Amino acid sequence: MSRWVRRRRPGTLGLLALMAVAWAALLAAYASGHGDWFDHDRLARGLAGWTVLAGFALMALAMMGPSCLPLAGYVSANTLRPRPAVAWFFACYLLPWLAFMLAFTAADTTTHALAGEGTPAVTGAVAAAAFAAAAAWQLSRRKRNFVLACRSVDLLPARGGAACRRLGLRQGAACVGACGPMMLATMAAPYGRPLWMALLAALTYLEKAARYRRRLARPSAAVLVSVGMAYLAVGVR
Amino acid sequence: MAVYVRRSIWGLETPTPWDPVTTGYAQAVAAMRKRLATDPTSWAYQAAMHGSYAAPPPGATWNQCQHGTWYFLPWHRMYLYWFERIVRKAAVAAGAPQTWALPYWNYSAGAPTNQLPPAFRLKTWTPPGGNAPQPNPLYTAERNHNPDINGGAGLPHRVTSFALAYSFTNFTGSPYPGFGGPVTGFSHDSGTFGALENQPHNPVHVMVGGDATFTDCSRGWMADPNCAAQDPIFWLHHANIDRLWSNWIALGGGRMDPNDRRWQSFDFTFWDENGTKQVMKPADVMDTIRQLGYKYDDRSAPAIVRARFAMLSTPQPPEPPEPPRLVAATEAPAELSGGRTDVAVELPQPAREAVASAIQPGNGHLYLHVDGLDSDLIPGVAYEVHVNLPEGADLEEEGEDSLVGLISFFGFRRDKQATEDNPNHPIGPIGHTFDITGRVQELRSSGQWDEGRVVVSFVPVGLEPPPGTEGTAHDARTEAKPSVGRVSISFHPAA
Repeated sequence: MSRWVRRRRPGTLGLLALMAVAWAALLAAYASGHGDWFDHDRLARGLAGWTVLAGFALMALAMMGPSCLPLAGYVSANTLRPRPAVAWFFACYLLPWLAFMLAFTAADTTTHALAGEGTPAVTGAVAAAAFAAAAAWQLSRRKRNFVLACRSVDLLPARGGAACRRLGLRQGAACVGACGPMMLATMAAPYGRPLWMALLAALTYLEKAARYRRRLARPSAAVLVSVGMAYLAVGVR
Repeated sequence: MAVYVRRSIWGLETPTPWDPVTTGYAQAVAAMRKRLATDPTSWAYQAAMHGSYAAPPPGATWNQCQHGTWYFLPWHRMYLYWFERIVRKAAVAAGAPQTWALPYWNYSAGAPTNQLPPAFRLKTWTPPGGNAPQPNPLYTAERNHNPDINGGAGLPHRVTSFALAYSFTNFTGSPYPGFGGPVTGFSHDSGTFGALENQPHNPVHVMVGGDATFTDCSRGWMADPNCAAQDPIFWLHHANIDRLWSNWIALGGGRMDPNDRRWQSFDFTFWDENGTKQVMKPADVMDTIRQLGYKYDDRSAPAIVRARFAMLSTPQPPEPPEPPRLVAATEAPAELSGGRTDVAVELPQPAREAVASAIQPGNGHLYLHVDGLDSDLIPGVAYEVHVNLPEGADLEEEGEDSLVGLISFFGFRRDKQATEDNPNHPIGPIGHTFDITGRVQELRSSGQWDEGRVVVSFVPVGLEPPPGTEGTAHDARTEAKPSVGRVSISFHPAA
């Protein structure tokens, strides 16, 4: 067994493997022309609910999982049965993300049902608005507080159990607060979705782990605004 | 380059408190206090660089102190270096010798050096050329009054001892926590302390300061990182910690600074005596004589490593092959009452196997962790941590064998204050780590080891009452109601 593998905290290697599989599946789907499996309007297109859920779970795992790894290591180091503790923690961490994405899908489906399909200009404007909102959120104080909550930990009881589940839910909810608007922008992005996913995953990780995370706010907001303007100018087919 | 010599304050102040160096320091403190808080060479600004409850002016480099990290020692060395240059300029302008250098307070040299130096306890003084007593710039009332450190109460030997820290030959990494502290990024938080930071640095802070609030600087300055550098004795305490680092390196035997780019090249910002910004990194301060132009008058460190601690120095690879794993832990918090508090840690089967493995030489280390400290105040006492302290033991006579270290609340904050609006407050709980391999081995070999459980005892230790007063350091009390969240044991297998 390699030193690198031996130095991983119990349970975290499994998470890494899951994330790798999730990314491979996402990229394979897009490469083979099946990227619409991960579109938010799948319910409207009559796809089965479980496939929608599975697609979202894959997206959340791939995009939000990496930023959660340091915390998973903390859970592993502070519990007597680290593998089940990490599994419970991570499963509960994903739940708020799934709820968030489903809520967005439901709202979007309802909007389309009531208002019908938009013109390219309207769709472009909606995408631009989503990117502008994400940019504004990047610069807000509430966003910074959510990021801080994402990085804060409580002392875990050594038996793990319910405390790990609570920690997962709380961290997941805080991370939805911190990165939810960017996730919405990604879901509203009509082009280059895999690129957005990778960028968002990297940014989320850096915002939680990097020393100068606050310096990322302005550049990331500028990028989001620029892309939104482009969508507004070109419209969306 | 001129080499300045930092001298022992107790040597300087014998026979009179007002030798030229101490006098120059007092005059410089008074001059710096008159400067605006926005001036980087002012007393207020320099203190706030360590920590402050006030909102920083735009662009100010406040709240920078590094704790619970391998940057603790180099950051404070840089901080003192630039502060010393600012003070020297002010002191020389007031008539101090050109060779003025920051003195250090070596409180480990026995009585009376364990007391606050006399010049820092006098409420008034008459400066050179003055003709009437005036408030002494080196005195503050915001210190421990229980008992009164300004009245001659002294730091106990168990607190000022650096024997445990010196038993580590590694700066960071395994055996944990290392002399200098754990690998981290920028750490204005607390986290887990390195051995020298944990003792004597932390308990000296809280005992000089006394009970503090962790919400403002209304009391107990030295006990709170956000207020500590306002007390003029802070800088002499840190000069002593800096001296102990220099002397630890001088001991040789594999003791060295990290040869790690992450440590050596991390930039920090300071201000020089002209108010100009200066960027420095740990690689710039590894040799105080060649790189910084100062040395201490004492370059020899006694070989005081206790036999039981010596085994901590068991050579380990810089990066052990596996992370430590938790094998036993308490489930409920324990309140630290006024006296001795015993906490039983039950040992399940994996813990028994870990103990059996760890006591074989070279097999690995057993660590005791004390985490999740909580309190309504920062207590002005420290707590001795004993493993299997006999019932009814006379602490003054018998406590040495079972003592594995000290915990204190320096740097403690309530988690609820951890918001971005209050960036000087740390995230997460304070943690302490002690290597108990040697103690467990001792207990096993003497037939006193209980396979089923370990009893960890917390005993408050405070200032020794002033000479001629009844009582001991173990009689000291605090107004705080502290507790520990969890006591746990982990096993770290060797390669």
